Amino acid sequence: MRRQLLAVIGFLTPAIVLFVLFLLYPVARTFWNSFYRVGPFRASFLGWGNYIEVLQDKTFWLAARHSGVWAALSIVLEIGIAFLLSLTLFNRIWWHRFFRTAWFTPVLIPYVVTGIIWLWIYNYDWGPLNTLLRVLGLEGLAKPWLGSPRLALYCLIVASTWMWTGFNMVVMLTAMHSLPTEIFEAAEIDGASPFQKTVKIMIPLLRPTLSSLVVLCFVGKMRIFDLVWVTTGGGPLWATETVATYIYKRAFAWNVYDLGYPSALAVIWFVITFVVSLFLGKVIRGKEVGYW
Amino acid sequence: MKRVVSLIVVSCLIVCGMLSIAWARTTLNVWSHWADEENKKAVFYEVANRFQQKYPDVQVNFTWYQKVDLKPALMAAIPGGTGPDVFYNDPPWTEFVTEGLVADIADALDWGNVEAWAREMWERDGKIYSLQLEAWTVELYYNKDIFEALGIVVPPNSQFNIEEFREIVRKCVAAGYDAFAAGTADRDYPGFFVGEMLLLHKLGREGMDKLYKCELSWKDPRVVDVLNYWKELVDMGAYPEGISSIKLGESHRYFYQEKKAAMFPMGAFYPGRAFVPPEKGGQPKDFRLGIMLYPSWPDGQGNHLVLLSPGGALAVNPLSKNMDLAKKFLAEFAQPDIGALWLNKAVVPTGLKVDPSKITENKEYWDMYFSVHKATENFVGLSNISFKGKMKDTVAQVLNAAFPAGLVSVDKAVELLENARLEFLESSKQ
Repeated sequence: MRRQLLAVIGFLTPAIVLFVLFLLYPVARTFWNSFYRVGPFRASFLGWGNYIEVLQDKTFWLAARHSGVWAALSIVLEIGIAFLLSLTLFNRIWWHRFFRTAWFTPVLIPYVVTGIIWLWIYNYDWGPLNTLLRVLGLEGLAKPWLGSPRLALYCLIVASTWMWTGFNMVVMLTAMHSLPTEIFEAAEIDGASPFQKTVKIMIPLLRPTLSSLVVLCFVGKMRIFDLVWVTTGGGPLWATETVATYIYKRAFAWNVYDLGYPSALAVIWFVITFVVSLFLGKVIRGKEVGYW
Repeated sequence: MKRVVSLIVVSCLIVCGMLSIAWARTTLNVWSHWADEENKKAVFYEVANRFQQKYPDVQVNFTWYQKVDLKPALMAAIPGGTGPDVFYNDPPWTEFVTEGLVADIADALDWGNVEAWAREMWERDGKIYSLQLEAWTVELYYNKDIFEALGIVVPPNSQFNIEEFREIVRKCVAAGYDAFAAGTADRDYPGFFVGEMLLLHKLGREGMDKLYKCELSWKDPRVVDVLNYWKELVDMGAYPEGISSIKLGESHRYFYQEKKAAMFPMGAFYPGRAFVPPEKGGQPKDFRLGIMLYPSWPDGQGNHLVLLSPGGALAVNPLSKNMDLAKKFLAEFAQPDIGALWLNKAVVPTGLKVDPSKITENKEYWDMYFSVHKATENFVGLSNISFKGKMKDTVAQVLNAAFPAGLVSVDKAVELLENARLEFLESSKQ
């Protein structure tokens, strides 16, 4: 018994050490920092001072709005498009294996590389998007896409949708394949159309999967940093500033050494993201639909 | 069998010997920016060679970074006790001095080999915190061929007035050129060069100093006057349409390879990129480069001034275990011939004193540079160094990126800047 216990402890210890060092301690330290003004060698206690400042910080709330819009639109676009693509593959269109690989490939590309690719695509002078528009005689539509405060955020949303739709597609496709075929056969016998089978049977049965994907999508977009940093840096005129880029700037780019305030930003954002993702998961999951 | 064992024993002894030699040698760690600038690295390696010849027990070990990655690395490593002995310090990183992340090097080297302004900018209460290696003025380069084709003749003092300059911009745009090559995709200062120099010429030393310290309102009539003039140039089409997607390196090629712009507001580090072979991104051999001064105001208080932005400096880690050696390494930089070596190799001005007779490379360029600046005085400062906090962020977003791209009116710019100034002043009181 003792031997077994020692073996368990032995196997668990490395994982626990890593968990404590690289997750628990940094998170706890961030919470602690948020109540202080933190310099490199000293910290002074501020109480709720940082949090009160955050409530009045217009740039933070602007960044929060951008992150929220990004998350909301991404859920609709990524999940919606992924569902259609997975449905197509589920019905085994011609060359479905090729398309499955092709649509999944962007997921394998790191955010930084994705950012560089889309910087090229959106380049005003020689990017393929504007070049195509000029070739088609639509010179007037050629724009400095990432330089426009109205368009830049949506251009980045397009980039992230391109990147992540494949992931959602693959997960949904797997879930579709695991659904029992008898239910669809029974529905067909009862005269259900393909549309009715999809909407009234498939989607309800996929709710647990959809719920997980929505939460993952939401959390991922609420913390997005790399894509923005590589492409626009949060500009123009803060049009693509997200909470993550703002936190980074407050920590390292303002020529002021204070890690306390960015920690308070991070804590507040964590709480908001956590609460909303719990709510989203519950709402979308709804009542479990059984098929026994 | 015996032979094999002997071989193994001898090998182990050799390895142990090498390890003990390495162990006995002290390693001086240097972290620096300029990972992709071989010319500047060559100067570092030369200094390291000389240093290692003087101190054979010391091994200088370089780690090269890009600037944007270096700062967070230093901010984490120095307080954590794992920082380098000597590191690249950037003038905008003012918190490094205020928070004690740099050592006092006042006693480390012969300051007679360093320009007075370079010493003064790092001096606080009798202590000096960095050796200013690189410095660059804000220049206005131009394409002589385009100017000739458009019939533009630069006056002997290299300076137009604002009326003449407006006409030049109009001529350039009418001929299908951009007046200015510029790109703000990856830097927070070059888009503001023209505006900033216009402000300096208008406000003079005292006014500009107050502006940088947020003591002068952005609603001041002189400031608004400058912004209105600059807006006129922007609205004429002076800047590239795709300015926000052009990077610093690309703006160089836009000017001298694609020849789409007649003028190029750029730091005097221009030669570092331009004076390399064309296939590596440099200017063509037959490109005729000119330099002129920014335009003068009839009521300008500083028409003779030029912005001098300190570039890279070198500092010592206050927690270095090799403090003495680190200071001696810096002293090796502050030698009379290293300044000339820097000018010859890096082709960028320096805070080290230089004997002009020792400049052997790119003489034509340096003769032109010194000739244009024979009557100018330097004003130390630049937007991304001198502004801090919310003010720095707002200047970068509004004046560097949005204003030259025509995204914001003068009224809106003034509103945003003034709000940021007041917020910054409020937060500074806390």
